[in-house]
Amino acid sequence: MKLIRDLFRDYRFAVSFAVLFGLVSLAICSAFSPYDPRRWYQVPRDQPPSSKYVLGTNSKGQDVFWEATFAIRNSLVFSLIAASLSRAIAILLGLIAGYLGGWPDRTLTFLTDTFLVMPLFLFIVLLSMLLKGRLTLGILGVLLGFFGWAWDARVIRSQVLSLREREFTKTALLSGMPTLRLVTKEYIPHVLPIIFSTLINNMSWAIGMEITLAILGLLKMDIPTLGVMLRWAISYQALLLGYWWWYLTPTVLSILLFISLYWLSASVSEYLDPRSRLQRVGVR
Amino acid sequence: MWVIQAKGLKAFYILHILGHTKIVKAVNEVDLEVLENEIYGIAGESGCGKSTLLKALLGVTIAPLRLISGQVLYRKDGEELDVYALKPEELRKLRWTFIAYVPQGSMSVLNPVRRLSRTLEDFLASHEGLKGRRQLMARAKDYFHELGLPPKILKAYPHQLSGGMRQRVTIALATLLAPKILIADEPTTALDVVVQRGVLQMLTDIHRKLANTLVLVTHDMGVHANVSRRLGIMYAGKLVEEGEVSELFTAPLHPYTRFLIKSLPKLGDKGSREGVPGMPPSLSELPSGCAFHPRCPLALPICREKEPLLSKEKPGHRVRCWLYLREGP
Amino acid sequence: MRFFKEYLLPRFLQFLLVTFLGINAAFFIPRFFSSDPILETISTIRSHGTYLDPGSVEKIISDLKQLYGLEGTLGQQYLAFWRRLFRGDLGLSFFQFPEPVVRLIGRALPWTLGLLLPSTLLSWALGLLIGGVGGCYPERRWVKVLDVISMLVRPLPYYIFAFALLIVFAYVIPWFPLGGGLSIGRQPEFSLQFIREVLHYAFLPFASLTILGTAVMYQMSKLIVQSLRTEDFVQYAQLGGVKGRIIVFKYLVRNAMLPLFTNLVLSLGQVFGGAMITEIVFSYPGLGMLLYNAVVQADYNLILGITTISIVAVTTGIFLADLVYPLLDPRVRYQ
Repeated sequence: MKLIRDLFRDYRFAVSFAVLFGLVSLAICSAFSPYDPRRWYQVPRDQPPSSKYVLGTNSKGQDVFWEATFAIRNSLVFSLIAASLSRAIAILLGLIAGYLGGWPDRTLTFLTDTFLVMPLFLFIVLLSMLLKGRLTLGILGVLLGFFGWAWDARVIRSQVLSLREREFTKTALLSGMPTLRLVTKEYIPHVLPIIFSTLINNMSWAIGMEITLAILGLLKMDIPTLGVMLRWAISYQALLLGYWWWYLTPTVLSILLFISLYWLSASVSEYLDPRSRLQRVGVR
Repeated sequence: MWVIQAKGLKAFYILHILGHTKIVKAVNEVDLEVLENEIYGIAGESGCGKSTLLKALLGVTIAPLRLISGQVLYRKDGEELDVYALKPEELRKLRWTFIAYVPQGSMSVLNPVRRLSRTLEDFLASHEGLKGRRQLMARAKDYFHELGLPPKILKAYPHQLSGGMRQRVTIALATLLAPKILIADEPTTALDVVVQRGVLQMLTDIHRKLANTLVLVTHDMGVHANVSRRLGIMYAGKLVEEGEVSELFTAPLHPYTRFLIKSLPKLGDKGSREGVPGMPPSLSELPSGCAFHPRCPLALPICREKEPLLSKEKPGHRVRCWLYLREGP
Repeated sequence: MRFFKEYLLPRFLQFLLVTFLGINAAFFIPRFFSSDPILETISTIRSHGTYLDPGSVEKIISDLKQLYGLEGTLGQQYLAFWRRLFRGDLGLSFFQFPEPVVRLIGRALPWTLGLLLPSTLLSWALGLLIGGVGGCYPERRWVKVLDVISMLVRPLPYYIFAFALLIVFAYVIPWFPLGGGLSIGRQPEFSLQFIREVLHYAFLPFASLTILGTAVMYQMSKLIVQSLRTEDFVQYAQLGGVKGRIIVFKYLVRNAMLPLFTNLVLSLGQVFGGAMITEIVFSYPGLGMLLYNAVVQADYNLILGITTISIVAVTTGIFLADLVYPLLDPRVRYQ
């Protein structure tokens, strides 16, 4: 409990916790939606916000508020898939490279660096293009998960590299501790703060990439996400027609989401390990 | 006549880790006087607070290090200056002209991306202004020459010099403006033995030439025996014994000092030498009473309970140990 | 000579290898997916409402095979691909037939580079300086204000930040055009008015990239300087009474340059992608916009061409940066 109290002393944690709590509640609300998010013309079109339609309605005849609850839910879900998958890859490669050293390390580091410097955005576009029409949220999550690991694998590797030099590794090895136990028992806890903060940052990256792909028109347009919502608003010229509630809702929601995710990760990881700050921004 | 005086000096590191506060008592009630034109040695195991004491004497307490209480006084031109009451700019001007510092002989005390001449200029320009820069540089070159350093190394970058050369350059840099006090922190550690001798020779030569005060910190008792005139022994943040080197080495009082001296190699001595038994205490969790009692073979019951005071055993010889305190607890 | 062997040569080889791997990925990825770009293209043509009789479909398929370099076995395709690439031939665009992809890219690239290079350099220099000074005086009011601003801007993805700027400064307050690189029909000429118009149109995308980049660099530079402050050489200079201004600029900021530069180089690929995304928001006529059109029209040759050129551009940029780095760090220069 002291941990929670200490964390709340950081204004960033308090703010981001409150905002995220609100956003997650919104996402949960989607379960009680009176409308099916895929069906059109369920309510009068293009109504500004009113007591009946809190955030107005769009040109497709959908209630923007309930549409947004689905969008947040879906964005959170697929970004969690993407971030978990890329975390798994990053941890695996980082641990292997850092622990084994030698040529596996050199090969993996080269691979990681190659991935790091590539304009990945273009590869993601290319792949989404080839998967067009089949890009469900799950597949999108896997696709983004496959691309988001390089930076963090690098960070984890350098962390493991420094752990390997420490006394307890030698003690553990000399006392006959199996490698796997050593890695899971001793190393994982040390890299946990980094994994946590990069998990959140990676979710944020995935959501941002999703928005971009949606704008490019590469996603299935019938599953509402923050990006798809924005894409519909833009393709219906909501900006020019002055339906501000339509394009501002996903924009403001995603801005809130990005900022609160970032603040959460920054405050928590700084609290867990003040020295990891430099590594978190990628400076070794 | 003293030139630096510390009165009841306490400087602690205050660390905040995971919401807990940890206090490292690195310098704990140190009283000492360093006299004009002497070589004052400070000895002790690593982690006993020697380096922190130097920082406190130099007036640099940057967080997490904090001055808790006490005073540091300099005597400059007959005037007593309270270091911690000076304005930052006044203190800055005292540095290098009045009190200078030679750090541990490590790789990284010189700006890695600047040529030595530029670093030299930074120091000179900060104290003498930019006017007559060429003259200053000429003077610096002469000085380097005088110390037997080839002037062409001024064009080099720090990483191009050997460790010993770098250390000589740092000493030359520190003494360029003829400071009244030179403080050297482990100046010969990390250098190999042959180079060590040269560096020490250079320090004592400069000391003689400038007729200034040298405060020499090293854990190496052999160096103290050869170079220092008076010696203070530190243990767990405190001064436990202080006296003339000749007396300290022939008749050490504190059991800790005896261990330190016994551990020195002697000519013709074939027996094995003993080190100090046990480990030095953590400065954040000091033992009760006298901090040395867990390692002390002569510990009395009282050592566990109460801290001894630093008493004047003989003129010019002080010791902090219950064995010599006559008055009862 | 040692510098050449130990610094330049490995980096040059790495540059070649990374470029080679990247281009290979661009070649193989489409071929490993079951989705057939030819059928895709035909369905796109159909969806545009064009009627195709079976005979013309056959003709289109064989034409497309030739166009996309899909004739023969994989091995033959691969060799042909590299042969064409060395001739600077990236094939023809399908939807702007028979315009060569290289020419389309050549027209767009200057816009992208004109946006990307100044904004990247400016955000690096600004971030370094402001963050560096901020790291020296973290308690000052203006530093705390900048901290909060950077904490707000930094997490925003390129698209959202650019979109927000567009809404505020082009739509709500119409100071800047809603998009484009020039007003429609404007011919390039060498006049003050023309230059002013170019700058006017470029301002928002430029500001978007620069502000985001500066926020990242600011935070990084500040952290680097804060850790540099505990380095021996900085503390030594302080103990030596070196003036504060000299320490801030010639010791802290100067040394923070090195890791910050390395970091910039490593993130070049991301920055490049970010610039393309920003262009799409502002309909800026660079590579990003070209990509957008290519995606909308399913123009495979164009997408592959853009990907290939981008890979070469980014890896070349990194190699050039590697060439510049020794100028900043004498430890590399005089080994």
